[in-house]
Amino acid sequence: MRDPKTLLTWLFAPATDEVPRSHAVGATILRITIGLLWLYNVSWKRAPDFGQEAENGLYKFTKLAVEHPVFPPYSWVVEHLVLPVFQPFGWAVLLAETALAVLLITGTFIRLAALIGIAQSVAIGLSVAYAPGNGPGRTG
Amino acid sequence: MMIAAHIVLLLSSSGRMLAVDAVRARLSTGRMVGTVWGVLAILVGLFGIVASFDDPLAARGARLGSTDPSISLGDYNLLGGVVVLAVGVLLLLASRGAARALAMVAAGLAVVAGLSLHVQLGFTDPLLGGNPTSAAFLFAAAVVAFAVSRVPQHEDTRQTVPS
Repeated sequence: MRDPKTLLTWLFAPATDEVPRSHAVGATILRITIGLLWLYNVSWKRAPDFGQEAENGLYKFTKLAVEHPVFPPYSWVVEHLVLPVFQPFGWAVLLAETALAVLLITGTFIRLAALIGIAQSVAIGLSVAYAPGNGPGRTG
Repeated sequence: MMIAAHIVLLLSSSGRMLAVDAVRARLSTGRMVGTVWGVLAILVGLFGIVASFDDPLAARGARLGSTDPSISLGDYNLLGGVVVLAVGVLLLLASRGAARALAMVAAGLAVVAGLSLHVQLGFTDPLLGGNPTSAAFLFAAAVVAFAVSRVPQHEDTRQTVPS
């Protein structure tokens, strides 16, 4: 078991362990593909209200966590802690997803980006997995 | 599926090729990643310029991408295209052996352009005709340019993995 400091060092270290070339090629293709997905999806995170007034965009998708709960404690957090301060939340999402796109397509701090991506994917899954038109296999 | 893909990225070695991580690990001089990003930015810039002849300063420039599949490198009007083209040319020159200071200029230009989009989007018409994806693309080019600018010039001849 690694101690926290070692774990942090590992997280920020380059993801360049020696592996067979085929492994490196496959992993690179996966990284760039996932980075392109994030890159596309930052386009509809529109400041300054992120869809709050028109009830579309990021606001609509965030609210699905309350309307179609997947995990009730998460729905409570969204309803009471996120939606009341939605604009700062929107900026945080835009920042996180921009960072994900930039770090993954350029291959910078990949492990850190992957960890952020896991957290963001879990959040998206908990928001929309039970929404009409979505299923656990399609999101998160 | 996205969760699984990120777990694979967390544990795999995806930074050995076309990656700034390879430059950080000194496995690469950044020549390849800088060249690829320089050429990509030049192509994106040229697309923005050519596709925006009808409405050169549109608030929403021509889209380089498609909703099916969900891939886009951003929207750019004529001015946006010129800026991306300039970033690409500077990055390409620096990566191919010209003064590394050019890469720093490219990084600075790309960061300012990306920030200008975020300052304007939702408040006023963006000068570069872009969207948040355009800003992210510019930031990505800036990250690569910055990494290239940090490699000492004399290391250019060092042969490493093709990253």
